[in-house]
Amino acid sequence: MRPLYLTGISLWSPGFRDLRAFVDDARDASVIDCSARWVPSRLARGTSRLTRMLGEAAASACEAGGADPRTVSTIYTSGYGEIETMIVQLQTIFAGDGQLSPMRFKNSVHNSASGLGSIGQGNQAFSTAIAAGDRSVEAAMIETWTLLDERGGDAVISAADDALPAPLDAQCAREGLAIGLCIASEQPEAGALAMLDGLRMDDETPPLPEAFRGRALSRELATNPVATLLPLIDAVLERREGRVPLAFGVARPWSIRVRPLAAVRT
Amino acid sequence: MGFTPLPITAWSAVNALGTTTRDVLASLDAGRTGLAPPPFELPFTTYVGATPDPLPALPPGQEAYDCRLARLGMLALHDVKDAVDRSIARWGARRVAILIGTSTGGLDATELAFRHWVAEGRLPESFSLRTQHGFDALGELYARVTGIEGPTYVVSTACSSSGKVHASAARLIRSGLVDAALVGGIDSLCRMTLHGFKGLGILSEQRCRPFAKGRDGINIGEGAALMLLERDDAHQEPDPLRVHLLGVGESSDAYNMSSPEPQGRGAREAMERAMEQAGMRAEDVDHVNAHGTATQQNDMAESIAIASLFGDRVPVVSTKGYTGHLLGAAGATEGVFAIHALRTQRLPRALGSEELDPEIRIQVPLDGPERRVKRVLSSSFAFGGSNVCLALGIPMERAS
Repeated sequence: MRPLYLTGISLWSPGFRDLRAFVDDARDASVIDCSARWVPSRLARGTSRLTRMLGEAAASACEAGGADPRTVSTIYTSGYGEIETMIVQLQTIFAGDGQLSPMRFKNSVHNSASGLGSIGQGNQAFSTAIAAGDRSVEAAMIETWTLLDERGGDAVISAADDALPAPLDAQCAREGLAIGLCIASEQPEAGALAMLDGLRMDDETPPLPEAFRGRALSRELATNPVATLLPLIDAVLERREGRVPLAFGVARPWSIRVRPLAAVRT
Repeated sequence: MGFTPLPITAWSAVNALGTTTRDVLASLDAGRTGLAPPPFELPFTTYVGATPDPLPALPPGQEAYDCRLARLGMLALHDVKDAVDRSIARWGARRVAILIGTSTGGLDATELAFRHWVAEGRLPESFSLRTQHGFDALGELYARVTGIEGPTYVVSTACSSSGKVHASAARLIRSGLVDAALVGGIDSLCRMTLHGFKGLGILSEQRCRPFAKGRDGINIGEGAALMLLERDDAHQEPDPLRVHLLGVGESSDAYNMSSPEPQGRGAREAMERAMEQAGMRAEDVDHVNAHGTATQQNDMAESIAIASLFGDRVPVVSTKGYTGHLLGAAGATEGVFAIHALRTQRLPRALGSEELDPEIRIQVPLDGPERRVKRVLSSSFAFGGSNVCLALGIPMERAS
């Protein structure tokens, strides 16, 4: 398969409004939610924070990569998806009046961000939503690579998982994280951050990342499947060529080679 | 863009029509509906397509994955397992992918656990969020049972999920990452989906009536369906009636989260793209297995899209009157029904469509006719405006 070009990166996490704040470890306690700028305001009501995180990551990555939000292909990926909305609805069924909000039900599907994003941007191009647990980033990268190999053009991967609501948080304590990547099939004239190639399956099981740019990652963040992308971001920021896995803590993960091309403007 | 037809070397389906592929297709041939009142209590009236109980327990060692969804999935796997084994032997375990579509995942297990939590203040000991609720648990279970080691993931785009996995699989094979893919869809009946569609006002209180006058909504069903797509079929049992995946069309309405674009623009684009990939013209299509949910809006928009491409020349059947709407499993299930039509040269009777809506100007055959069927389109449309259409049949160059 032909190489791909990474043209934009975005990040949002509670306390960090963007990639620069996260890289600089500039935590802002007032950042507890993100905008729904890819979602029409009339439809934003009843969306989960996860939907907004996925939309924000997609919008910012698209902007950073200079892709056209009306025509870019979008690949959304999340391990547990719209589980917050699901719990609200189960509460209504089993401890409430059983009358589900139509708006909330529409937004409970795993592809909520995909649908709302396409409506908001008037984008009739390819869009999908993937769920692959700890392999969510890996799956999205494979889906994106084979899509661009077939069709060419630009694509945005938006990966997000949020903290789980009670009572499910007892089984999986997790900190919210959303990362977006804008990827092109051809090297753009304006340049690219990195060339990506060498997609392959490996034999070793890489351990969870413990640190990012010298600071320790909490277990709640490191176990978020989206944190898989932090070593890739670090390699691009440090302009360090090398291979990065696309999943951690799983057998036979896929990996890619990152060849930085330009400095990142965070 | 060239699309190499992919032989479908095995297929299976389980749903309200039966717990084996043979039973399901026999019921389809006989024109028997699987729709019945729900097997559990609900605060409203509807019909559902429930798979006959009891569903067999999971194999020893897989108990952690146990839920209704997984049991449906294992039933469907049974009928394709030998072909999957041959595929692994031919291509190697790492060269076979697993791509599954689901809308609900293991929600049925989570509902039981949540109800327990409401009553007892704690989740049941037996509940595992990761292996029972997690959408990826389906693929993980299949990988454990089959030994497949290739890319494994779930596409979850609501009701187009298990149609879209065919497109993903075709791209994986075309790109050279794998040589075969086990694709399909699984969804189980859940209270949340039933309550949700009731809240939207589109859940019928009677058996659903696709394309019929006075149709008043959907019935929800459950089931699983699988297909094995391969680069070639030399290692499988010879089959002169082999059906191929000829193309897949995907489109986005970008219009509304739950209503189709009224003129069926996205539906038409998905069908056009499937035909384009397959190298087909409108006159090459012999039958359309429609999404046909029996809501006013879907059936009207879809019929406009179909009529704009084929007029009333092509027989159109929705099989929702047999199984109900299988949501994330609909695309794969109706793909299997299309394969059956191609192999038997007989279309399903349009169950529930007996009194056709005079505003709908497509051909809906009521008698389950024998027809010359070489190529079929099978469409699925979803929340979020996600559309997909499969082109199935005999490759164009082999047509006579």
